[in-house]
Amino acid sequence: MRRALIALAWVACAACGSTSTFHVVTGTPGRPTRVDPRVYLEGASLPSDYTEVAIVQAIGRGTHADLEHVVEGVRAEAATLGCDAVIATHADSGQTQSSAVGVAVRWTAGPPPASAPARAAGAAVPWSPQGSTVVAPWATPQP
Amino acid sequence: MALGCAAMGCLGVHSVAMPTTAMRHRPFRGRVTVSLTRDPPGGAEVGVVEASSVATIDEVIPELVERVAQLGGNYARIDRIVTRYEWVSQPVTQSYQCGTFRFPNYCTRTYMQQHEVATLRATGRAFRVGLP
Repeated sequence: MRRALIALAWVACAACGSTSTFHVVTGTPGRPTRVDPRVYLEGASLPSDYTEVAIVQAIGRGTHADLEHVVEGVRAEAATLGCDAVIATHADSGQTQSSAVGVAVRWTAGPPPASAPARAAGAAVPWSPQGSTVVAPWATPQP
Repeated sequence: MALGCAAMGCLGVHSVAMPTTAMRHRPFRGRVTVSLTRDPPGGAEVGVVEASSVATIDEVIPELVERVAQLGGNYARIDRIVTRYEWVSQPVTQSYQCGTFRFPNYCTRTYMQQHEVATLRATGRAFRVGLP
């Protein structure tokens, strides 16, 4: 009985949130893709070889009113339009709602090279000794 | 959204278009190109536009594009889309039974209920590209 009540409460809590997605087509959409489009926040450096396909928006309410859900929402919406990425993504949050808007694009000259993996705060920095020098891919090369 | 509209007293999308040059153009009747990331190469800016609503982008962006076309532009450069949140109070009226079995009656009461309302605002510029 107690388990049933806990399960019911869990289901009820999960139902307290929702994410809605919208788009306005500004280019030529493609077929839905299974590849997860990459999301770039506004201000991120990007290659110029892309074609705008649509403006996408995700609105999260209740327990979905956070960055995680709205970013996932714009990513999913871009995937339905056959896009490779969502760029210039901007998110705003209230107390009971969140919204993210971005531009769904397709790369015209292949995907940009993947950037170096982000390093978590406090995590060990990978390095490899080579003779008397240390190869540190994150460090600025000395002149 | 309906609650937000009722609370804010709004109907539809509010928009404004303002020419930024002395030259006036006829409204453009063709297809307007929309971009959120690029200025048009060789385009001439003819005005600034803004549209806002408690609605979503699928209502706000077409209104903005319509305003661009009214200025004679054929290229809508959207500079910013932001959502602002505010709490608004709305009177809610309820009816309830307040009589007795022998003398049934209905009463009404009104109280204020608060809702968080999201307003989406898009601002941009109208350009003419390849037009005289």
